[in-house]
Amino acid sequence: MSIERKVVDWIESRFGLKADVLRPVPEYSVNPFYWLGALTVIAFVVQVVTGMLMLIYYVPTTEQAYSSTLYIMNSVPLGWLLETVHLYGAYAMILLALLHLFRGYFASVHKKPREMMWVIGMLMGFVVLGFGLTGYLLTWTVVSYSATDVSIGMLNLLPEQVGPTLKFLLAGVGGDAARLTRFFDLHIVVLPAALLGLLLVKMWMFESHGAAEPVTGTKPSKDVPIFPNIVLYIGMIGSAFVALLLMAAVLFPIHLAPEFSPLAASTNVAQPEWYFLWMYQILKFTAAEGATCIPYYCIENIKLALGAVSILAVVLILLPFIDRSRKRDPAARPLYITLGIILAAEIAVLTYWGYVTPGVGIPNSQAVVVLLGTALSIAAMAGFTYWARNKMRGVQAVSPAVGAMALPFTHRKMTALFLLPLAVGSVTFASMVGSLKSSPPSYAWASVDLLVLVVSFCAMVMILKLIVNLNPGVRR
Amino acid sequence: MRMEEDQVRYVTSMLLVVLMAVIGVGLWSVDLLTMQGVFGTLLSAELMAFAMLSYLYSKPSLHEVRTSWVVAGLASLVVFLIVGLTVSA
Repeated sequence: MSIERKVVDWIESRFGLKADVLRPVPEYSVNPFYWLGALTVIAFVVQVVTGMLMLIYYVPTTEQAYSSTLYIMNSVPLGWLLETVHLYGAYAMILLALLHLFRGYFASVHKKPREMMWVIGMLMGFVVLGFGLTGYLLTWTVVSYSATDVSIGMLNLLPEQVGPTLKFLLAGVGGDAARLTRFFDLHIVVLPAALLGLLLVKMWMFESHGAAEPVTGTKPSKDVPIFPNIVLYIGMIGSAFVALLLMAAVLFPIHLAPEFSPLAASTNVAQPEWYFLWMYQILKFTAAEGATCIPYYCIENIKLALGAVSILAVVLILLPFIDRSRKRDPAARPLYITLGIILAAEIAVLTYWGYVTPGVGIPNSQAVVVLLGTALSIAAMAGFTYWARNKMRGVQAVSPAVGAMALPFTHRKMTALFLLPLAVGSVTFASMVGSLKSSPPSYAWASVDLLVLVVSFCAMVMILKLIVNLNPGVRR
Repeated sequence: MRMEEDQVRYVTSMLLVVLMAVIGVGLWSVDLLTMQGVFGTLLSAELMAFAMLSYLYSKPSLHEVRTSWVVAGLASLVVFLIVGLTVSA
């Protein structure tokens, strides 16, 4: 018997792994995309370990929060590494949770019988965002204080009926000292307990339902045992992830911003962290100012904007009960796939836009052009892809969707021709946004840009149609 | 002489274990007050070596182990060690 087998047998017998504690997983799920949730949990473990080590020195009072953080960074051996890994780990955790959400959406994992797994997963996502909100304040820098103030301000705008408990927990009563203590307690006790509880429920359901089948249908697949294969697989992706996190922390260590004081805050442009930036950008639109009145009732526009974001959150939570079709293949779900891509793109665009325009109000015309332009471009691209897919069905041996994607490589000259109106269109779009950004907005130039944009778009569509029709055997 | 699949895996894993032991000694012996960056990079390299070791044994057969992943792991290990040396210089 080989040494490896002896080691595996010893661990199996001593830890009781021979009894089937966890059921084996199908071979198709041994793929990093299936383990984004596990990676998020690994990021959480990194946060727990680094957070506990920092707790040894951190003092959660308004007088000492900043100085103790500074002490950890400058005087405690490896303290700066702990702080940096903790921050980058938080970013990674939020990013992984987002990727897990979108991967699940596009792969239709929310469909029967996994509806409640989706709902629990969404709640876990909100808990993860809660970690970001509550943890950011704890360093007590002017940047973190201002950013938290913005988030609390948004929360205070929510109608009282929406979440009095949530508002009390986060916005609460009392001054800075009470807020810091409350956020500290939420960050190290309430939220971890909530996340672990939800994780337990989700794991229970995962054991019952197993990993979701591939979207193209179930193929015969052999099972892979949890021990040693899956344990080693998770060990592999987890170790590589932590190694990259550590290396990023060594190469790009963080530096603490100045301490919060009312004077320092008055000169600082308040900006939330990147994961709340898209929401904040919406509130900077001119449309969010003022109020909308109907007979006998007036409501502030900023509350309407926040209401719309809240409705989006509720729709995402209840998605399994809205998208009830049994179809899981993206090729058979054009509406939901297009909407998902539009949502992801709008969040990315708003986040980047917020990053480059701190503290700048956004005119309505510019907002409409950017948001509508993004949505329409994606809708047009998705429409073309589905149209090309239908045209090419049965022409190529490979999957029709893949066939459509391979077109640019099989028709290089036509693709080069296509890139010309695409470049003109992109430059024109940027010019149009710039025209609307100037004060006062230059509507004449914007109209000319719009005309060129429409012509470029029509040219692109014609060239794309030509490329598809050039393909031998296409149904006409 | 042609090595069998188990032997290839055994030899590779032994090399990785030796590498991990060497890096471990380095981790133990660096001065935590003056060489904190080196400690971070060495710990990264240690974890990457462990990731490669786990990958080798996560597949039931060596035929399923993708060479590109092994090469990527080795390349990152080398990069991490070079960064570690650069940080200490």
